[in-house]
Amino acid sequence: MWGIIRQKVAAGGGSPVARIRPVVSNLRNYSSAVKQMMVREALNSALDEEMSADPKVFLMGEEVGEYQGAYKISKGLLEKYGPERVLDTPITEAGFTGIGVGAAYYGLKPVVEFMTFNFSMQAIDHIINSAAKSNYMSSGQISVPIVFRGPNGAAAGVGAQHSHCYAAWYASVPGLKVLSPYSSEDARGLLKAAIRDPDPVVFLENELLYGESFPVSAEVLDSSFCLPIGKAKIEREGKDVTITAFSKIVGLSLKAAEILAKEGISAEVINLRSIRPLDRSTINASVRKTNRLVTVEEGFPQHGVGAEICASVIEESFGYLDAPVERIAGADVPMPYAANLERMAVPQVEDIVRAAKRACYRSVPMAAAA
Amino acid sequence: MRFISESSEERIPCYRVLDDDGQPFPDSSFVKVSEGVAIKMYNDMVTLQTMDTIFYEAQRQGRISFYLTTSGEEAINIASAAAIKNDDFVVPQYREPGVLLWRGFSMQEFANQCFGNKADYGKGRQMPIHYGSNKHNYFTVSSTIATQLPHAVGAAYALKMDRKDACAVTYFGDGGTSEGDFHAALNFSAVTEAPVIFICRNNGWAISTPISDQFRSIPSLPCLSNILTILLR
Repeated sequence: MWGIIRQKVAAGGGSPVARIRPVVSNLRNYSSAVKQMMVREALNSALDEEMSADPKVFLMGEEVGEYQGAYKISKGLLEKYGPERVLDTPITEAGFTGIGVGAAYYGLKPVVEFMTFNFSMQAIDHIINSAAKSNYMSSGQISVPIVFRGPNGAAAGVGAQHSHCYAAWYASVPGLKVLSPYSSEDARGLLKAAIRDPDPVVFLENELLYGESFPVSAEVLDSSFCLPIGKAKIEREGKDVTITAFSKIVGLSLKAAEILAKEGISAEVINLRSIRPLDRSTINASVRKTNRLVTVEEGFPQHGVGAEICASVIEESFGYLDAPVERIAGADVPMPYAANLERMAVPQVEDIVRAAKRACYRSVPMAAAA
Repeated sequence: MRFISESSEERIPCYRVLDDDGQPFPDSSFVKVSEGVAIKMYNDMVTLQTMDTIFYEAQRQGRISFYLTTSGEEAINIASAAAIKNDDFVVPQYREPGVLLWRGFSMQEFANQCFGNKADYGKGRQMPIHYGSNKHNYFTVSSTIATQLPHAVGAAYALKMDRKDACAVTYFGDGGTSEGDFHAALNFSAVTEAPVIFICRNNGWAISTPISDQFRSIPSLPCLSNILTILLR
């Protein structure tokens, strides 16, 4: 409960408590010239800059305008760009997604916001059958430069219909690009890349990351900053075991790596950034170096991102593996609401540490699951 | 080619008793309820409002993670509940705990669900205010908007096939009418002649989106708050 309060206070931005804590303020100049930026601010600035640079870019979704965005990501944009470029839509995901795809067919560049990706279920036919497949089905004649963005995965205490992670579902579709940022640098660079991309991009954010601050360099703050799609980032170098993760789980993996370091295990943490296309060469190069792999994700285990990474590594680097691949995922149940049950259904730092130790044969291997 | 003007001379008849100020129209006709029923209705409306206040404050204090009130819509909840029988299958959206209250759900049962404790019938699996009760013929609240509408039509169809002397009753807000499911449900209920009542709680807002952004035409009934629009099928 209090964790939620803390998150909400930090995320408030305008609340007095948030102002007292300098680490969560955005763009404060320190003498060491390291700027801190919240992920929310990173996304807002990326949207602002891309809308400013290209008049074809427009934003649509529920509560994005007057309400400044359900999570305040589009704060100030209605005032700056007007109601023609920031559209408050009626409550019909199927409807407004279809409208966005139609606008993209004609040559505009819509950024469609889902209040959470759970609501994209209503619109998934348009995302897959209208957006993703059109370029191929028309042999390149139809281009769909659309971005679908919004929070994905579990938040805190929101139950099964608000906590589903869709990374694996969307990433299985040829014709889509699927990105998932972790830090503010990721958020800025990847969102800009997504908006500039001529193909449909599914941009999976995380509600719990919106209020987190990360250091950003001057290069990241420049309006031309862009990250390449399809390249993972090695967040922490190591030599004993490779841990792959994306979005919020990168933070947990880094914490796990700290704990493992104290026990003499040097973990390499890879921030995938791009789920489709998956950066297979970075992952495989890392596994060839460490010989052990732990994949971590929040979503359901069956047919998940970890399953794909495991298959890819076995296909390309089987001879380099010194231990079976360990796969950490969310529990195979619809997300329960009660806090104690939710904690057991989502990967925790201890789960990642345990899996890394199993991969390093520091503990007894798990019996095969039924 | 003929152009038909948007406002025909003959208006669709609409049953209405109270004007915008809550006063009965002089020529309106309605059936009076008994004193016992009237007292229970008033009692339950006050209880509902008090319960809302307490739970809403608990949510703002962080003691429960989520709560939605029925503020201003107590009459819709209680009156509609009083008009139907216990056999009628209720498929709610999420702003109708008053119907459960009318049917006998206790304060303790409401609290158990909100706190997700071990006495909760849902055993802590669902978010607060997602009440459900087999005993009271009230289908569990689901977060997804307007999905309850085709569900209600399906349930009504089943009631009809079972030849039960009961109907399905479902609720939704003005914002929810933008969903595709709304149109599918209404259309299909007419095609299958399913015994279902659709109750729209029109408060003029979908979170912060006003009805002027949801609908092109302003409704012919001018009131923008708390119009009880019952579409009978």
